[in-house]
Amino acid sequence: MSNGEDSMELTVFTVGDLLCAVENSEVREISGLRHVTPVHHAAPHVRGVVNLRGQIMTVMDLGVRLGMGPVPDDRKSRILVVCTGEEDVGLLVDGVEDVLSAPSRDVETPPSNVRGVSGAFFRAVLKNGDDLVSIMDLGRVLADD
Amino acid sequence: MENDETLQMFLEEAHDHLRDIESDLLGIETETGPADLERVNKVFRGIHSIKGAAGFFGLNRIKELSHSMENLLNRIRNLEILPNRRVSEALLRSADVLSAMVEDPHGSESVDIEPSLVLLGGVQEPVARDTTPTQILDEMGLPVFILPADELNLARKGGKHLFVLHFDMVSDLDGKGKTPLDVLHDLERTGLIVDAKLSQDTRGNPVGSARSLPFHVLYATVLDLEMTSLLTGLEPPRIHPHPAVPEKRPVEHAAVVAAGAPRQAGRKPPKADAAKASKKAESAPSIPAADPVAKSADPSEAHQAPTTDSVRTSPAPSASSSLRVNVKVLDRLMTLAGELVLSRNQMVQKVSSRSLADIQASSQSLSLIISELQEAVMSTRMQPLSIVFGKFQRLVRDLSAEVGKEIRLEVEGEDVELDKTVIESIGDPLTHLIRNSVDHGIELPDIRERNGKPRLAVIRLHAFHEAGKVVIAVSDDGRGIDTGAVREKALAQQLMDPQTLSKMTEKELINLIFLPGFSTAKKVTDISGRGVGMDVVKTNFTRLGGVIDVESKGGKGTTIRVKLPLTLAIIPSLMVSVQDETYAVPQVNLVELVRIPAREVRNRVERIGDALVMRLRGRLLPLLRLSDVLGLEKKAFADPKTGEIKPDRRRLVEDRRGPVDRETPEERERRGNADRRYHSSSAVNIAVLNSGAFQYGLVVDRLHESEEIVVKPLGRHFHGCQCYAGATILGDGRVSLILDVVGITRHMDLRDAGVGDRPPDEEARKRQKLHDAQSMLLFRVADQEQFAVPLALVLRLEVVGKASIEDIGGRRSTQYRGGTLPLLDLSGISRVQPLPDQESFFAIVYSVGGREVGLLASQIVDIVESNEDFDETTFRQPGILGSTIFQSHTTLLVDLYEAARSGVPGFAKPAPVARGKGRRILVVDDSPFYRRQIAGFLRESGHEVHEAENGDDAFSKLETISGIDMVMTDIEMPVMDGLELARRIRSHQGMKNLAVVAVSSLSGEEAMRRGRDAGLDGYIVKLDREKILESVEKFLVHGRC
Repeated sequence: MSNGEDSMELTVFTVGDLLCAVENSEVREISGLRHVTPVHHAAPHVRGVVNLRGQIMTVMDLGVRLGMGPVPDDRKSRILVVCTGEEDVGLLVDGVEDVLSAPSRDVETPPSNVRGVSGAFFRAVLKNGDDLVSIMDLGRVLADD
Repeated sequence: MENDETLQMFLEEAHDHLRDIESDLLGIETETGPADLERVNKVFRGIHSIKGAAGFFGLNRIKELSHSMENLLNRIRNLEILPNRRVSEALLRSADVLSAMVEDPHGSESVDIEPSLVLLGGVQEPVARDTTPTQILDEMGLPVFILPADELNLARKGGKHLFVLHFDMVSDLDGKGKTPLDVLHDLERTGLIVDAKLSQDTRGNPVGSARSLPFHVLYATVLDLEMTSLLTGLEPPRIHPHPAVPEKRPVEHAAVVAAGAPRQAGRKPPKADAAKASKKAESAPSIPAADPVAKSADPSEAHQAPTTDSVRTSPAPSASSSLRVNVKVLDRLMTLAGELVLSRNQMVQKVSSRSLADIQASSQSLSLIISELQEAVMSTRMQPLSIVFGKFQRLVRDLSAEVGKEIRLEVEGEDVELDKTVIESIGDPLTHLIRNSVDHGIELPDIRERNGKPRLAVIRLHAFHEAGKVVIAVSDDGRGIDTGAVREKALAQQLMDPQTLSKMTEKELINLIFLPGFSTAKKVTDISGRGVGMDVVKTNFTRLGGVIDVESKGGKGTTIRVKLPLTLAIIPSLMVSVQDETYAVPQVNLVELVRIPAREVRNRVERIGDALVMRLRGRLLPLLRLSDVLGLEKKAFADPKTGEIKPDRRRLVEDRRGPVDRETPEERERRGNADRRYHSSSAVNIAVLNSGAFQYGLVVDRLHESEEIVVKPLGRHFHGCQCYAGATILGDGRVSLILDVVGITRHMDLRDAGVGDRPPDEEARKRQKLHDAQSMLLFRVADQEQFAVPLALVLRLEVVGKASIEDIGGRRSTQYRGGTLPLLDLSGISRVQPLPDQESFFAIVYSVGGREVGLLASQIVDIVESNEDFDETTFRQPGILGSTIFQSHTTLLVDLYEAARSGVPGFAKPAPVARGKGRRILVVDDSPFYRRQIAGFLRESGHEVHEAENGDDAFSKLETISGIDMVMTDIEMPVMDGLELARRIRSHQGMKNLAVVAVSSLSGEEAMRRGRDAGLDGYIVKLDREKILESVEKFLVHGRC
């Protein structure tokens, strides 16, 4: 689902020591960490809910979701608000790094395993200089299971 | 093309028509005599409208069926056919089929409408018809429509002209901002659409390009060519009459036709409408009795534009997520929005001016506007009950026919409005209530007549406002609820015990029908049986925040009243917190708040099996801790002073004895040396909640204010969480979850253990406690007082003649078996009435300290099995251990040991154990009475005794208290019994050599064997003081064998 024919506009962020990205078109906003109300009995990767301008938004801890351990509660962490068609969901990440424009030819299919994280969560990888940026498959990440 | 949107609109309209048609048909049916023409016309117009639009969309089956119905209706309004029951039945059934097709338009083409056509035809006598297919040609001479000749004639009746109209969707409609439905509606105002269709290819897809999409209408109207041309905006050749009738100018017409260049280039010839030929069930009127056009007002009657209707939903499945809103409401919203903006601007200004007074004024006006805005927005969600009530007429009619009863349904208050969500959810439970009435409430007509009631029963559905709620009452004049049958059923299903039942009032009995598992139907009938009970109905209403009540008079009827809140979006709630988390409890589920002061907790909070219960005004309420529900670590609580989260060392709420002996001096000082039990913060806060079926208490850390909160839904990741009903945003901007009172009971698998709602019953309560049954011997000394001793301690009963009693210095005895048997008179030991003068007495012989003693009794009353607990305080005195009630008499339990000690000379207590030889013993018994007795025996002998009330408690004490030498335990206890305790002890590394003795009323080989298997060292009968002390000697001094 890439924009244009030549390049992808990506928002790059870190989860643990992994560089991840989502397409700009999927990101609604980026918010600083605010008080998250825990919802007991929800799945472990669901941190809870927050008040996003009057809307109750689910916050998912991407660290836990990807199997890497919870995202720390520090000043660097951010909530990436992504919209999935029906509802907005907040992704809690270690930090937002950059916005970059990636030429489509640099985008490849993801390996089955990215630094210990299942490749199923990603739909592509991008080489950006020395770094490997893994582009997320939001549908899979946000799935109810 | 906006076909989808237009199709949607058509479906909505069709649905509305059909709904009205049903109620009109029912109305026509119940009237006697000739049809109410106005109503018939209304139905006719509705069907006609559906037919026309269906044709446009290529929904041919729908078109055919409507066409057939239209013909029948036409005959009715021509007074050729009287609408008897058969006729209306045929129309109703066909309307049902039509409804189903409208619900699923794409599937409608494969629906078999033959049966309906046959049905419709069956109610009419076949009439000779002229079914010659007649072609209607377009201006190019190509056939556009094919119709039977008689229909054409019919259409032209009354001097109407038939025109063929050729529209182009693109140039005539899109270009002018009209939709096809608009066009059809316009046409309907001034004539009849005989047929209508799009140019279609063989697959039924509209043919055409982006620039041209043809669509044809065969139109009958009293207007002439010129007027029709004006009306439609069509010029010849796109409008031409059929046939070239004499009053027209055929030559001119033909000339125009010949000369007119076809405007639609590349238009495919429309396919012949073969379906037209299959109208077997049609019949044309033979001789019109009257001119239906003249009679009815229909051509000129405007078809109401949908948006000025009062608020209605579109129940078609695809449309349930959309809503129709009254334009007035929308206007109001617009106005308020405008005012809001103004007010906000003002506020911004005032804030920068820093004048507090100004800001306050602004804030006030803002507040007012916001309130109004909130009300207005909420009112958009309000729908009238007619949406739900609409289907009930039909339901009652069909059901009553099925069961052979005569019932009339009266409906009042259909205009009462409720929130959309509530409306959508009450349909099913209300249906169930009405079915119940029809099925069980109303009697057969013959029976009614015999009882002096009219054959026609009435069910009344009445909705009205009362005290800020909406009340819906379903009442019938049937046989009422038979409380006798209810009682029987409750007993049969073991929902209640006989004693409780006998104490219930009639109203309480009637309300038993809401218990799960209840159904008074003698057999499960098809329409309201099948396990859907009144408990489900009640739960349905409770989920919506409603309450339900039943009133009934035997023989006269039953009324069920449901009270519902007006809206669900904003609800008053009580805020509660556990640790540092705040939750909202909807007020509608809140019964009361209870705060148990620290010192009463032990008395009022107890364990039954695995559950915590609380005593509330004589009944037992199951308790849940919110921290347990949420799965929070029990270890923490908020320090009342600092708010800090600290570890909680109390294991059980009901266990108020902290390990005080293990506190360090610093800790004790910090506590201020006060008994922690009495700190106000150790009080327990409980919210008593109503989950619909039963009540329970929720234990929370703190109770806060009541607030009106806005309910917001949780996202899809929380669909599986049963405990939450939604979320809200608090004043501080944080999200707080709303608890789902019913969901919590499911999550925790809390069922009403039958200890909740019932009226107080001391006997039942006591029965919950698991005591061993002890056999008690009941006897009398003086006539008025009854006494009891444990049968297990009685050796024999003897009869002693007055003459053989020797009295030496106040001490009595008798010669017995070669020795002297000391005889005890209780009145010499306790403050009880003396023995009467009798010829002979009973001596209850027992043994103490190796000697036999006889307790004198004037009569032996009975031997009873008892698991009663004894009240130790009321009648406590020397020689009396306690009292209870046996067979309605206050009965005093005799302390046999004490009696012997004080009544028999030379009877000495065993010396207390030598100093330093006292042991540390753990006594375990769930009955405070027995526990204290045994502990008492042991302490008197100089032992140090710790107490536990069940195996679990005992085990944890064994883990925390060091130096325990021996355990004396009851067998029958809740939570963990004596045998299990013994097993646990034996398998515990540090404890396996502990001496464990059972003190129980169970006996017999089997019991003893089981005890041995579990690891018990011994088995003693309760209240045998000597044996108890003996066993200490035996096992501790001499060691275990």
